[in-house]
Amino acid sequence: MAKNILKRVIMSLIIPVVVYLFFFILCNATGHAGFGVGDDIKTIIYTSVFSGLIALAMSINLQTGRFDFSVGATLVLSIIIGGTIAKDMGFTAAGLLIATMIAGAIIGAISGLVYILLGLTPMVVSLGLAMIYEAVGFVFSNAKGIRLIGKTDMLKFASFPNALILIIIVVAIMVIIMDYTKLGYNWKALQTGQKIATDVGINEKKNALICYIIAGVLLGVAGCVFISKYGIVDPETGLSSSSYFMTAFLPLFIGGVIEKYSSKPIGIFIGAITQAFITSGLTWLGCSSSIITVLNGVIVMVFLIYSSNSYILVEQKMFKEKLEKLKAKRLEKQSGGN
Amino acid sequence: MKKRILAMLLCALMCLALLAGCDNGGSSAGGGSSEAGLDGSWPEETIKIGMEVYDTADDQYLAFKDYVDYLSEYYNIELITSESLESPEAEMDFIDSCAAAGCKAIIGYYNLAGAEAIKHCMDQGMYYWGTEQYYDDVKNEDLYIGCYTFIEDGATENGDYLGGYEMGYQMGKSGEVNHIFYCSGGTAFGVQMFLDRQAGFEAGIAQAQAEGSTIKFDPATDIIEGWPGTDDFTAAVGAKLAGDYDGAAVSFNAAALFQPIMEAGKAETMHLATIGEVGDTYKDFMGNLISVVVYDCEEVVFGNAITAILNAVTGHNDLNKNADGTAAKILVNRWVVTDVDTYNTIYDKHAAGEYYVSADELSNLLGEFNPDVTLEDIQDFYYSLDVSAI
Repeated sequence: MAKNILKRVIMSLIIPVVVYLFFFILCNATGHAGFGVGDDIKTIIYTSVFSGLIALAMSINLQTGRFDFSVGATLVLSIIIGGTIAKDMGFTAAGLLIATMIAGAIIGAISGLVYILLGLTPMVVSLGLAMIYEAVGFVFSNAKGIRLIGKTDMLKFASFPNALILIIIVVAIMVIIMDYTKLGYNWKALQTGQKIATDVGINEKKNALICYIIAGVLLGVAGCVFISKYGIVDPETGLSSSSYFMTAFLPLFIGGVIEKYSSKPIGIFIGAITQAFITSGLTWLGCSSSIITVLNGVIVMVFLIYSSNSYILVEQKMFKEKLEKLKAKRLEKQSGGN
Repeated sequence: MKKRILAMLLCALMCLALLAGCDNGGSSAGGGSSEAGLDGSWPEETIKIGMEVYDTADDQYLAFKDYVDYLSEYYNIELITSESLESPEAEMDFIDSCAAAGCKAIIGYYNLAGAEAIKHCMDQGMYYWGTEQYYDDVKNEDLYIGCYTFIEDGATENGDYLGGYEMGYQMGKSGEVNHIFYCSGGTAFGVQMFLDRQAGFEAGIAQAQAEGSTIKFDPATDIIEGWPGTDDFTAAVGAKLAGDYDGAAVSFNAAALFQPIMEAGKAETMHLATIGEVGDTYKDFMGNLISVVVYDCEEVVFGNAITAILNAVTGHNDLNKNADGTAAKILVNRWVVTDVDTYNTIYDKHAAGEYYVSADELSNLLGEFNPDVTLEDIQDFYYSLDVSAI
């Protein structure tokens, strides 16, 4: 039992640890000391928390076949609405967080209801909603977005250790929801076979609505973390909000590999940490933004290729074991016959 | 009898109304009209103007929109703006929409399809103003009515280069910055505007160093690409703020660096230069975090579009043309704001709903109101508006 737990922990952490050591040695060997220590750790924690939250929000719907194109627009709108309310009401950091979470939940509920009521392809629905949310954010803020620069009592959740505490709480809640509740079991059942799941009585629409609300809350939290870092969020138009979820794919795929050894939410956050190590390491090595984008794309491809073909390795291992057993049996028979 | 009296009264009223109309027009045409005389009813037909925009949330665009809103209280003009344009196809579609909506002119505040967009606009009978980089392709066209320029005769650098140059030169010249990094925005994506700004910034630093500045800048290590919101930008800014840098130049909205600088505990020591607006964004930071704002005053740089369009649609297009018939460029100054007082002076004026080119002053540049005005008068007027003169 203890051996099994140890193996799971090692397998869950091996990817980020190897990546960290690789860049730490490489950066120090090339005279770029500074990676992974001191202030850089704080930056790594922020980027992993921000992209981890978006990846978590995306995974809830993506895993059940609902690609949500309005993730970025939901994030922006929740922070514009929640942030404006918090600013006007004179809230502190906790108030800002709660306001953005509520705003995110409401937007998520709207997305879920629209999806259920229209019955259209999720991609089409979310594309339309993304445009609407962008426009609402633009009009609501009179094109000015939200500016909280200098309001240090409100902007607490991007700094260390607050960001870390926040993500630990969020991941813990997500693990409980996904692994230990009826909602999570139903979600997993729908993920593996929607027809069978609905045939045995799982309410797909109710599950979808709750998933959209949870994703909205997570995006509200991500928005709060983002504005805590930069103090400013501009409204997005012309679907430019889609850029927000571009960094969520690598954590999703790494999370897919790691979930076998732990839990999906933990795997995704470990994936986000790994991505943050890669980005920070390449930055310290002097790689340009375009090079980092290319390398991130290559790494996503590698993970996709691996995760899509990993069953081949398992099969080969299984066949090899069977072959060995058969050989052993045959030898046993032969030796018995002699 | 009663009918005759009524008819005479009606005739008298009509004559009075006509005379009143003549009186109004007469005083305006005499030049030096007062704002009270401009009540938004001239020209008779509403002049619809289309405007191509790259980001509808951009501060500069919003400031210009406010200026046109102000002018529309005095002139019968209406601005129709595009969404944030992302492709040449979207730009062409917007031009078609403008034509369908009855626009008389397009302001090329942004241009993706190049000279094709200008020609497409003119093919539909609309005037086109702006986009200096395609000037040579269309300068002889009757419906092309010119553009602004920052470039003196004989110079080769464009406006973005000069904006970047000012940031580099002013930061080097200030003597307050020892080591500076540069946020290049879209340089890595090949966006010409950002490429020019970066080239200008490097030249400005080099010039300051040649004049004795000890400012340090190495293009190989001191440039951050991209925009806030991406992991690599965050990581790069974090790495720079952990270093010995005490200056940064930003080729886009510098407000995205304020909070990270404050969090890094460098608010007292960092100096920022940016190309941006005199508005709310930098108001509280000018003089402490912000040292230099390279500012394109909206009523000066882009406001001359309204002058050109109003002259064109009211039969005075000759005021937009050089002696050889080519479209005229309006040479304007880029305002380099380096102190709080200047910043606040501009800010307060705009906040009070006043502009450096008022509706009244604009009427003096219109052939309809001032028959004596010439192209040289218009050019001299706009060129005279400099930050040193305010």
